[in-house]
Parts: sequence; structure tokens; C-alpha cells
Amino acid sequence: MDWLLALNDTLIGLILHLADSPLLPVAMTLVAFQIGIWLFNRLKHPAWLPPIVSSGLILVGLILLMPIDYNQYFQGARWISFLLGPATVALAIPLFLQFHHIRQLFMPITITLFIGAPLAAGLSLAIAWMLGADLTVILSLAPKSVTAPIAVSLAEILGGIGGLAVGIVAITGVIGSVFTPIISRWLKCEDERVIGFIMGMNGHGIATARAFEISPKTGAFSSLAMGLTGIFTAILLPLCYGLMS
Amino acid sequence: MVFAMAQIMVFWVLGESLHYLTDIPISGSVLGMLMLFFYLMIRQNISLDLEKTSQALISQLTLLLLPGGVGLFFLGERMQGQWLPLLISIFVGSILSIILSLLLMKQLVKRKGL
Repeated sequence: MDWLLALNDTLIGLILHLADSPLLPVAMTLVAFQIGIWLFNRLKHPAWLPPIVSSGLILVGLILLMPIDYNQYFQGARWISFLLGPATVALAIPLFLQFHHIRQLFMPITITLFIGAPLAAGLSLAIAWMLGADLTVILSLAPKSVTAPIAVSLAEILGGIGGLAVGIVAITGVIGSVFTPIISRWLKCEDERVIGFIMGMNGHGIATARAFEISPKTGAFSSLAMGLTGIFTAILLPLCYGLMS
Repeated sequence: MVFAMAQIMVFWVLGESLHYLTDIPISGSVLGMLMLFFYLMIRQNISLDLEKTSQALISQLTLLLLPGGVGLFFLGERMQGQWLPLLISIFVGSILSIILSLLLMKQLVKRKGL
């Protein structure tokens, strides 16, 4: 039995050594993500199991099994999250490429953005507040309709929890992409430009991917709405919060 | 690839500097995005390199969000009794917001006869 204990000690030592640098955290993130994508393709693209959920659960399992905690994992995996910065800056490019669509419907788009984007955040905030949610939860909920990289930085600036914001944004995106087409049929709205814009405004990148499957025009307007909502909310939300507190 | 990445990083540095120097409550990366957007609008031109690099970065957003997203499962007691109000407010708020903004935009487009 002694050799078994010695082996166990060696194994723990090895894992701690590998997790001490970004090596193990980065490697396990990439492998878990690849398994998530593989599962997603293998199961023929189920809406209920996007790669971020399956690979996230695999990572949770790995962290619980290993003699490391989440903070140690994140210390190394920050190497990956760091690239969220350039990815956020790069969002300027699709917005620039889709921006000419704004001329077709300038007034409807501007008015819908100025009323609809605060509505998308405000309605959920009001409901959460009425149901007695904590302030940190409410602050993480505020950027829910914004594309995730912007939402994470917004939540952190406001004093919410970045990780929670990622989850909330993902759920909102799925709701926006599944329910906007159903609701637009129900309200007898057939204008692809309107459906696309409402999808992007309420469901950011996840809904935009779905909108491009409906038609290129729907996708273009969804992409435009995602960029405009992201910028508008990123400017407005901290200013409102600053005025209120 | 390297030139486009350098451009993106320079705009991030500019945004972060603006955030630090002026105390604007907007994150450096969002300010960098805004500056890059205005730069492109003024130039009215974009290199293929920048277009491809941005696509590559944006198409991998899910992977980049994964390390932070996993933190959701390690929030522990901070989230005690919070999940139900949270999920209800996300669901009901999103559905109401979709209905209202759809009705609004539909009316605006109709009135303009566009």
C-alpha cells in the first residue's frame, strides 16, 4: 500500500507543478472546449447544449477532481481571457461593415435603440429588484442584452460578477434567438429588417448567428443592432449608475 | 495578421489610457472599440488583414469567455436563494422587452412607409 500512497503524492505534486504555470489551465481549457465542439457536432447542434455549457461542465468536473481550486485555475487561464480585450476592440469592424444599413431605416432604428435598449435592461432589473435579488446579482444582470465581452467589462465596472454576467448573457441570447421569430409571427411582423434588428438588440451574438440562418438581410440587421446596443449600453449604463449612487 | 493585431492592440492601449486618465466609467476595451470604429468611419476603408483578424478573434469568443464563465459554478453561498429571482427576471424581462420593442419598431417602420 505504501507505493500507492507514494504514487498518489507524486501525482498530486505533478498536478500542482503543472498548475503553477499557465500550462495546465490553458491546456485543459482548450481540450475541454474541443470536446464541447465535438459533442455539439456529434449531437447535430442541439440548442440546449451549446459548446460553452458542455465544455464549462467538463472544466468544472476537472477542477473539482484535481487538487486545485477555481482561483488557481483562473490564474493560469487568464492567459486565454486576456484575448477578450482585443476581441472587444475588434467588434468595431463588423459594426463598421454593417453600418451602411442604418441609412435605410435611420429614424426607426434610432428611436427603437434609444427606447428599446434601456427597456431590454430595465425590465429585467425591475423584476429582479421586486423579487428581492441582491445588489451584486442585479448589477451582473444589467448588461444582459449586450454581447458578452462588453457585458463582462460592464459588470465589473458596475461592481457585479463577471462570471455571472457571462451566464446571464448566454441565457438571454438563447431566449432572444428562440422567441423573437415566434413572437414576430404572433404579432404578424414579416419585415426581415425589423425581426433582425430586434433579435440583435435582445439576443446579441447568439441571436445574430441564428438570424444569419434565417436570411442574410436578417443577419445584417441583427449584427448592426448588436453593435449599436453594445456601444449604447456601455456608455449609458455606467453614467446612469453613477447618477443614481 | 501581426499588423492587424498591432493595430487592435494600439487602439486598446489608447482606450485604456483614456479610461485611466479621464475616469470615464467605460472600460478601456470598449473605448478602444469606439476609437477604432471612428477611425474606420473617417478612413472609409478597411484592410483585408484587419477584417480577417477581427473575424478570427470574434469567431473564438466562446473559448475566450470559457475561463470566466466557469466561475459561475464556483460562486457558492453568494448565490444562495438568488437563482430563482434571477431566472424569472431574465425570462419574463426578455420576453416583455422583445414584444414591446418589436411593436415599437413595426409601428415606426409602418408610419414612415419604408
